[in-house]
Amino acid sequence: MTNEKLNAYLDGELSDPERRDIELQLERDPNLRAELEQLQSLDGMLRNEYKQSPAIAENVISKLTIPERRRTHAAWFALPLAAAAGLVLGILIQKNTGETTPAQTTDPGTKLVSDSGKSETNLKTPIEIASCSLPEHQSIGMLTLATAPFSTIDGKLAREYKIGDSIVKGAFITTPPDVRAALALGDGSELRLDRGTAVEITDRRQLTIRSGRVWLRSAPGEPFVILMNNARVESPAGETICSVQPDHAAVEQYKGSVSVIFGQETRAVKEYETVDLTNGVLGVVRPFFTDPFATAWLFELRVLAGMQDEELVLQVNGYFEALRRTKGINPIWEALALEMASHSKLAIARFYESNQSHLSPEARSAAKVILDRLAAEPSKNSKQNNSK
Amino acid sequence: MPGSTTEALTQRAVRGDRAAFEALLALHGRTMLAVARARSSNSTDAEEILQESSVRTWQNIGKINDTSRFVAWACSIVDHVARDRSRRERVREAKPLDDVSDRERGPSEAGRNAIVNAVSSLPVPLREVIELFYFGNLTYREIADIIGKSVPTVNLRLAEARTQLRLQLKDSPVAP
Repeated sequence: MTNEKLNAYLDGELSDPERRDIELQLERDPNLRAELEQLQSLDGMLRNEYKQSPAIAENVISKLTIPERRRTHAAWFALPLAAAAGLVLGILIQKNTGETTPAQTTDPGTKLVSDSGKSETNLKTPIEIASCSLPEHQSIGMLTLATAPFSTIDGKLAREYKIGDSIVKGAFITTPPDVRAALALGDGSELRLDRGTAVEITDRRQLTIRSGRVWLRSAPGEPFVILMNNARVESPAGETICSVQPDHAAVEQYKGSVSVIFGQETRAVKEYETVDLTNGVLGVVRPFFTDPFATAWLFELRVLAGMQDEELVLQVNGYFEALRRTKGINPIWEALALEMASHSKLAIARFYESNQSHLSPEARSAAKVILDRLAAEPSKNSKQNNSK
Repeated sequence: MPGSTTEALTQRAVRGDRAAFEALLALHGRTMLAVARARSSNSTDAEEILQESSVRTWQNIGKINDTSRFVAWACSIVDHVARDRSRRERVREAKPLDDVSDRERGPSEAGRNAIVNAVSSLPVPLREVIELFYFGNLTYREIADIIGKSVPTVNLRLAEARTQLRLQLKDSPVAP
């Protein structure tokens, strides 16, 4: 009997015949049993010493900061080289008259090359008249997802945004009523803009919300500042949804905590807490329970962006696996994660359809689209199922 | 988790999907941290090594040869970063060789308990398997893949590490 064999037995690393062999020897040999007890004792001490490992790892991983990558090869969202090289598409439209302006400089250092031979009167279908070069330092982020390309009026500059476009400091972005978008900022923070949301990216870690709803995941660092409804929201790190609607404004906190400063008053809003900012009054902090929402939103963006079936499943699967590994989730989500591990898109769609009370109408619609499409392709589905 | 999930996430990360890379870190960061801990003198060092390694991994993920081996590849970067860091510290601090040797072996810190001190004083190859087995919660096969050795070698090192730990703890109040 070797020391290694006894260690492997202790660690459950032996085959069944090997294990049975050792157990027979243990029955006959008291010295071997004593040796095993010593090993078990040490193993127990080590396991006790390392019992906090998952929490330690989670804490360390949650603090990691991953910067935007320098792109040296084609990335799917980097196909427009504008994002990497600081080139952006400029579309100039005179706001009031609809007449095209040959060239307009909106940022210091912006150099536009005019192409005045075109004109356009319809703001919904602006035309490209120029390309411009921006200093690299003005690019502070990138549009990483959008349910459709969209145009937005930025001062007198109408700009078309599509996946991969850079976001410059001071940019005004307004998502149309039928488009949602996601942005990655250079400091590692992420923004998701709901439909009909108007924001100004005032600085690398500062944002002004004019209207609509914004989900922010702020990377650790100096507080990320959101200005909304005369209030200032400061987020050192975490996940927050801020909404500014005509009749209602609120801050909802999903991860970490934020300070909401309004006049002389400050409220600390912690995980799964919300505070109202309606009618010029800072409300009391209260709990809320809508944790599937952010996930539904992510799902919806992917679906509506036309992501391929397999990609969608892998994205959502990876998301849930990460969630399961790092945070622990309730049994329903656990079951879902396991289902998704089998790469069954149908399971995802059914889940979303059967959990309607938690989800936005858009997410439910997205699920229904998938179910309808799968129902219309019975042969393909059965083939997929048989192949698993 | 199916093995293909890591591979698929790696493929997405190679194409520039940062969310996929973050999912990879969430899935395998614990293993990477275990490797960093094996070469660190304290937890702050380990965290800094993991941070630097994560950025290097992300910046260089386009160079990965086999997307099915992300964990081993990422852990090799952690190992390189830890070695680089150790070399830099050696130059900066201009320590005598004896001290450097002690540092690499992981000197114990005041206030840490006997078992932690005993693990810290193990030679790096033995400490590495202890960290991967207990901190990383990995099997012999998974450890073997990461350190690029055979399963019997992992078995041998873990047995040797435990033997040394028992010897070191023999006279301590927590002796097994």
